[in-house]
Amino acid sequence: MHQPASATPLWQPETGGGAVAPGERQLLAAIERLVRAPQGWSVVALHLSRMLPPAPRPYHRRVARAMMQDAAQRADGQVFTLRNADIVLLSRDSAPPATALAERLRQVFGREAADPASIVSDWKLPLAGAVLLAYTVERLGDPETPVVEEAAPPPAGVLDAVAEAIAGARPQDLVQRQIAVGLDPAASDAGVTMRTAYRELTFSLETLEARLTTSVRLSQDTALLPHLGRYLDQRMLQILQLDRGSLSPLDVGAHGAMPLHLNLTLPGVLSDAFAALAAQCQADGQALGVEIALVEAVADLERFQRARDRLHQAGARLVLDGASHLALLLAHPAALGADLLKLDWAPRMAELGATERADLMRAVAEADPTRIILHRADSEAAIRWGLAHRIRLFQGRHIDQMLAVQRMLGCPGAGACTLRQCVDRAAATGGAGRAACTNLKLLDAGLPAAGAKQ
Amino acid sequence: MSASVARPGRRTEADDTAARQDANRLAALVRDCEAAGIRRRCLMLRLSLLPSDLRKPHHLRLARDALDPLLSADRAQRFILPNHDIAMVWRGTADLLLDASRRAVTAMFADVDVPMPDPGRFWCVLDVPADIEAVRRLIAESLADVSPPHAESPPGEPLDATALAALETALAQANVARFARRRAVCARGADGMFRVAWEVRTLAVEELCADLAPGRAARAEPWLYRRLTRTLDRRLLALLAATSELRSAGPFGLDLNVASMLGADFLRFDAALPQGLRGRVTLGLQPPDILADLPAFLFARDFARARGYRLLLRLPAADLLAMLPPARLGFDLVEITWSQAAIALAADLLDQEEGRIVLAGADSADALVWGRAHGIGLFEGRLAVPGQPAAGSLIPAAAR
Repeated sequence: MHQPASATPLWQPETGGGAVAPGERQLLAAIERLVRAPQGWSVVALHLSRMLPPAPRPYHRRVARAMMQDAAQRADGQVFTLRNADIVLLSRDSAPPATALAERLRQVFGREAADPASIVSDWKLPLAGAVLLAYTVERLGDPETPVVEEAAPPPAGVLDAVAEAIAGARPQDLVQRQIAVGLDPAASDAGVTMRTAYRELTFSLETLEARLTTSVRLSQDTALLPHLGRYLDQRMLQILQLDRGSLSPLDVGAHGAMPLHLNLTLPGVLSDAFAALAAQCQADGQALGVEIALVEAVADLERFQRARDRLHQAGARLVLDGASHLALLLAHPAALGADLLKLDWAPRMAELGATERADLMRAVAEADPTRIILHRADSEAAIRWGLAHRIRLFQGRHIDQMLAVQRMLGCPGAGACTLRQCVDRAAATGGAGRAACTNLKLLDAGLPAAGAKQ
Repeated sequence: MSASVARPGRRTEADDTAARQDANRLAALVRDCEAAGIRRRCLMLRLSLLPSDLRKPHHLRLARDALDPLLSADRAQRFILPNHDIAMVWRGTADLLLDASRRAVTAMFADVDVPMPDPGRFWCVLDVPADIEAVRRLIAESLADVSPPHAESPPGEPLDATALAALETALAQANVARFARRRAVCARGADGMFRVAWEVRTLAVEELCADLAPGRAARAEPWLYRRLTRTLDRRLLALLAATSELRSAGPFGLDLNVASMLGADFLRFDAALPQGLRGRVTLGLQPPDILADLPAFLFARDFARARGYRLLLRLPAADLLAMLPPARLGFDLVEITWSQAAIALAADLLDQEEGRIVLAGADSADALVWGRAHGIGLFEGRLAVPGQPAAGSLIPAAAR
């Protein structure tokens, strides 16, 4: 065991008015002592502040602290947690173990950093003394970064309250609509041709959460949400049955040739209520698509295969929902034999390193871009990325705006509306949400009849 | 095809005990025959191969009665084995008695309109000691073929949200040590016998649920069960970290959720793990959990690697192997379950994973033979028993 280089403790907490100084001041005090007698010391800094949002998540911080504390115990060191989320380890360890620790930290935390190499600093003293001191001084000026606390999963009992909220609400207050489009780059200079591809009806989780008396984030529990989905299925199928002939957005047969997409669980697809709906749609010539979550498909493959067969027998399209670009990079969702795959857009997809970018391009090509819907296409960048990857189907907030622009160009009453209002009214399925629109026919069609050029 | 498992009607604990005693007596008898060179004939009536509808208590009683003629043979003994197979052992020739018994058994099933097992496997006459390995294999299968207590979901109401909430609360306070269980994953040793590769540490969910939420079936609602596993993970990790058990533990495995691997309980467990066990603990993960939060999975995976854990991908359906390439996901091992889907897997898919596959559901000789033919070296199931022969081809054609 090494002995301290000086009899004076290196990290004696400073006190001012009885209060312990924050980590930055403690670190500075220790570094100032350290640079005076630097032999045999090493400093490893884990820069969690350099991770790409939403990182560092609470578990990143937790694991980081545990790894650094473990290293500190082995090397008789001390850990400093800074306000910007960085963690610094000062230890009397020899160089190789500190380097090994730095390498391990890079492997664990580097994946979610803009520059994986810069996620860890391994400062060798006395050479890096000035850099270390500058880094520490700079930290003193950091603002307080609010720590995102880990939300506790909602209590299981909340499902009863959710079921009550669904049962007690008017369907049009909970169900929202979104229209997906096909975008085709024209051969000429005319721009991109847009056509409506389908309309999707979903329950709005945000609205549901807002109706609960307690603050709950249903989407934070990956087990409760699919379970709740079964109840949502029953309710959705019931609503669609009750609204037949109402000519509202919830009337399955009231929107011409535009296919209808529903989000269902596997038991929902295999239910009698769905069989009745599918038969009715077939009789009416209404094209139907069912979106099943990728997670649900792999959780019960046998049931998924039965649901897939049933959909195909009913002439309905099967869409695999909820695939991220990581799912495409690491797995082969197309092997599940769905008709379409919904790929969730994330801004990071446009910023991948060369290797990952090439891998993703290959994965998109293998999955067949004409069968991919770029979902959550909320920005121009998403559309550009999708078109560059030969994807032609899009759904998301940016698409909502593009559709609203086209509607307003073709609507005589558009002068009284804002773009935001047109977007919101198109998403609403009834009630006050769309009451102010004077051109409901156009609103429900998504686009003026002749289509549009962008 | 795997042999179907015999679970006709409910049996009492006394029945089970008597059947195990019969199996042990038969094993001792053939051992003595082998040691002394004494010759015996042995009929195995393999009722365990019958469809479940034909394995009701009255069928078993009639089948036993049908073999009564053989009791008149010299030194005849009857053994009712734990999987309901019946063994008759006698000395010398008894062709007429054997024929009478055979006719009685045939008459029993003459009118059934469901597919029957292959007669050559169902009615199997063997010579001891010449066919001693086959007899031993059938005894082992009969012992292994019986579910351990509570291995299946007991009947009961499915969990609902309220019951789950109550169960989670009760679990937080309960002493779960008495529900701790182990099951072996076995490797085929150089001597052809199974040896323990590692032991999977679990909590006996059904027993625990029967204790804390009587009348409820824990697994009946899959997503609520998945949620329950997070609490179970925490309790199991706390149990392992708090006891002195880790100090003397051999290689072991845990089935965890990704979130559990990144939780405070796992970090405490990790801190308590002796250095000697680094690299000898296998963490099993399930696909839905992985896909639910891929960034969290990737982080957990990299963290686990840095801390020296091995990672096992547990595929609930073998056909997921094509969709979830274990190596690309960064797993050291992949577990598939012996099934028709496993048999139907493309050979090249299995070849790609050679040396990485654990075959679960190794409950029949067919499973072992199939696994061995595909280069699989790790097995979990009722026939993967330490000290037992790992080969799956010892049964003569007449008995298979």
